[in-house]
Amino acid sequence: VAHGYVTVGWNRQKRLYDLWAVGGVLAYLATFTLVSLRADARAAADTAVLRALGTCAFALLHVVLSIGPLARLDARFLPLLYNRRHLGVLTFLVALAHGTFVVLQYHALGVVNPLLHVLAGESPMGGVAGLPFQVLGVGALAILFLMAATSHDFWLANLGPATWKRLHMAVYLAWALAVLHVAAGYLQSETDALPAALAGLGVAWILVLHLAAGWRERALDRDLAARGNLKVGAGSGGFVDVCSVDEIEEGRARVATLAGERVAIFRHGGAISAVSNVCRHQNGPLGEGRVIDGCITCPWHGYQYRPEDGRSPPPFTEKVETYRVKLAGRRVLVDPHALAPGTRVEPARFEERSP
Amino acid sequence: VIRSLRARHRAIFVLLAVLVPAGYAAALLDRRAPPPASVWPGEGLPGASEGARRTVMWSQVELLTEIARGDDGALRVRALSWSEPAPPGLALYWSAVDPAGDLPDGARFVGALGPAAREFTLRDVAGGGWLVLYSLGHGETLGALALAEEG
Repeated sequence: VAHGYVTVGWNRQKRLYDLWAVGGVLAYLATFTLVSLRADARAAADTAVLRALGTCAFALLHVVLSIGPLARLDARFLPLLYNRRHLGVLTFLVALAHGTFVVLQYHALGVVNPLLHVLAGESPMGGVAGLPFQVLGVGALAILFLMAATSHDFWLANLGPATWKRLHMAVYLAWALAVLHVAAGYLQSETDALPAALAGLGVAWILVLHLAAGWRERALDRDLAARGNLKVGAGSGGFVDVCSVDEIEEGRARVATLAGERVAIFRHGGAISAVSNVCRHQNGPLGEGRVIDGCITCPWHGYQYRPEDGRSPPPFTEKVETYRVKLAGRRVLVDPHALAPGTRVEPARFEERSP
Repeated sequence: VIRSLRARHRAIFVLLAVLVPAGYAAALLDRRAPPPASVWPGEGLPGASEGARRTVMWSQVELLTEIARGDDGALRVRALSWSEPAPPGLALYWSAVDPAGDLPDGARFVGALGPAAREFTLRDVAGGGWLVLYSLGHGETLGALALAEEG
């Protein structure tokens, strides 16, 4: 849970995550460079490093873009999501190193200003391959810079999660530009079929993964909405019959779509509470989290909220919307109208059945 | 709010699923065959001492070359030095016709000049032709050297 401004809230997990990421990048760069030099006696070391950096940034971008949908499709990938932003910043840094090498090697020795020369986008190729691939790369790098510069919780808190998410969707444009940059640049002079095949597989992987996750979420939304809408009982005062108490595992939640938004209904110690399914931090799915130490805990980054009022425990100040809850026998009824974030709602209590 | 973001994400990827593969495929289909590479001599230039050694003033780069015709008829070119700073992406081409101005169609790529790339072998150029110095970075011809004398 955020408190005040800190550059990076380091902990053991983050250090380990970053250590693996940086170690992996260095190992890749060394391996690619050495293999390139051994495979082609004519290859110059600076060109091998340049290509190692470019392919590394391209591969890292694919990894970063895979984590989100993978975590939606399979909870076992959630640990990768924990520090994804550091991986994004690392991607930008590797891409920046690639861009710097390119400018020094191909654009810095002429009479024209090197940066202007890059933007001039000269290409000896014609037709589609005559796309100014340098400009496409500069565009992708500029977006990655914007993502990295605004990745800190400072910007998340000031812009708000929704605006921040909208802004960071620009990474998909960066990916598209990077793919075209590679296709219209590097792959034009590469006669080996393997790089083109690998890049094509990467494109297919990202598209299939995101479309599959998107469609799964849409199907889930429709299913949850249909179940919720069908169960608005007469005489229930507008409350929606969501499920039975016995269908919710202790310390866990059942998610329902009410009035178009997902609501997480938690069972905790003989009581039922309902809060928004959306974490204030990065819009993580609270309903997929657990109640730990009496607090609902987001599965993405561990942000915590009290079930009865949706507020983070002091000294933290985050709060989410709450919903009124009541029981009809062992049926859980939820008012679909959200209350203001942090509004206290008395939990609906029930008798625990002896096993 | 989250639902609208999810809908936007779906719409973006439907669009990308059409545009990105189309752009990728178009770029690959438009690829041109790479220029034939020169044969890289592993050792020095056999018979180089018998060849002409001359300093050639290109338009922007003072390129010192050593050119010799080997016993097998192949023309061997060694770039001894060139003035710095030089335009980026220095490359040598061989052309059968006088490359007045732009790089002629059908010019044959000999090799790129660099710290580790200084020696090249040209085969099947018995008729002479021109050695062309070209800047890949600037996309311009820097000069040409008639090879008739070495033929």
